[in-house]
Amino acid sequence: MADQNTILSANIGWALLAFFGIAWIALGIYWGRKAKNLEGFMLAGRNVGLSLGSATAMATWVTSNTIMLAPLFALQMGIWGMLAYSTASLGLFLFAPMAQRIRDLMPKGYTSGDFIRLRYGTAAWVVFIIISFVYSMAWLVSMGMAGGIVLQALSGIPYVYGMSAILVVCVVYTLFGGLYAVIGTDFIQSIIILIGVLVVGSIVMGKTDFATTYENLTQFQPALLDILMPVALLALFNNMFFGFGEVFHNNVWWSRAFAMRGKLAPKAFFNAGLLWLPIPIAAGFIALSASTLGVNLTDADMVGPKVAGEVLGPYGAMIVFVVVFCSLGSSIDSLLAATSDLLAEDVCKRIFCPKISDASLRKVTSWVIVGLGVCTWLICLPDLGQLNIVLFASGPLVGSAIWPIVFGLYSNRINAFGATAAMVCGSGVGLYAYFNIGWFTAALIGACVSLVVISLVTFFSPAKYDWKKLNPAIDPK
Amino acid sequence: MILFPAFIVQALIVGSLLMTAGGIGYLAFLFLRDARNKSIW
Repeated sequence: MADQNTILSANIGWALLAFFGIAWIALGIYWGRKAKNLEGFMLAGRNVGLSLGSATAMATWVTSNTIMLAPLFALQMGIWGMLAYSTASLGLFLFAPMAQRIRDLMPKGYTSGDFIRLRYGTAAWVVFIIISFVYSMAWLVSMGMAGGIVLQALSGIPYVYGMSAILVVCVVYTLFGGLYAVIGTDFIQSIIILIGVLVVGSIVMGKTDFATTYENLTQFQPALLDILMPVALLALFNNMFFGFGEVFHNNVWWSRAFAMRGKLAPKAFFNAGLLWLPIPIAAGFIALSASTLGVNLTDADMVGPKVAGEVLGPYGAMIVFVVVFCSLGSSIDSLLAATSDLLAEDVCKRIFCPKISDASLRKVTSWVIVGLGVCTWLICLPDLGQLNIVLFASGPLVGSAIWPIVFGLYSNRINAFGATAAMVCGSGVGLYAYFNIGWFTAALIGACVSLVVISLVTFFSPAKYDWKKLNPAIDPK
Repeated sequence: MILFPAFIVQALIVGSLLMTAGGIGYLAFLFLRDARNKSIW
């Protein structure tokens, strides 16, 4: 029997969790057998094809936040809210040419930290690692929390049990299969997510009369249709720069650029952007239909799943349950793999054990995956509150990393001090804006301050970096 | 207050669902092509 306040019974929730959990672990172990060495475990042998490459980039970017925050954005900021969330796809589009540049400069590279260390030196690398680690943990924690919250809301599975189960499943298959397991499961998860969004969106559209929905909005919530809604416009640019910062700096995306075969990376990231672009709009539409459908919303974070569950009944709730589980899995596994690579390769190997063998480094990577899972679980335990607070607090940090990455990849005039100062000043001022102005300005301000600082330092003190330092074997001109 | 016209809102929503459907087909096509060429991994 379903709990009075839930759409699914806990038994169905546990059954779905067990079915997909066992499937991901089994597939992870199966694909993980391909990982014969460190390069196989960390970068899937640098031989990932276009279909899996496109799917993994898209699925990683569809997080629980896409499914849950996009409807919340639409509910709070209307049409611009939906569009604001979808601007995060621009990060994937712009990363497409950067991925090729990364491959050209560092054909044997492993992590984004490698690039920062070789390009700017130790001080910038330390700041970068802190930014990247804080952001990755915020992303992991926000998804662990989302998993617990959604599973509890849909099926009554207690928050701690649901959150723990999702984390355990992701840790286990990433641990056994490395990036092979991550990318393989991402393909299946991406197909399930797209089908789920299409089915729920189509059924909600079929059950609502668009003219009535539009009329309701114009009468009772006209601000949601306002072309000039100032907060929404700010949120749009903030989200866009947040997305740029997230994609450009994080090793999740760099590891995929290194993992794809030959010159496929730009195509794969462009495809991923196209696949991802419509999802926040389709999910946001579900929220805009809430009032027309007579859905009583008590928890803003849960608007998407709540509407789908109430309109489509238990089957709709099952679809949402599976889609959220897939979106969580596709992002948590990627973060575990990429962050463990970053910590093992950049921190363990570069600082503590420069002569460590590949076999030992793989063991270290496995322990780091387990450690990250345990840390995430401990932080998620108290159920900190609204999801967007957790993630958006890291916005100014990643926003400040945009220009040191972009300029560092394309211009040899940027010096180490400029890059370091840009990240420190951008993060500091952006965090001040986050706490004193609003979350919807923080990433934007962090990125702007970082741009001003790096431009000024470069203008007054240009460097002449030798590209060969990134890879002595080639000269990218 | 200037509002988004209804046809733009409707085009956004219908367009997003069509793009999603197209995305499923495109991914399936890419996968089958990679499988035929033995170039999935």
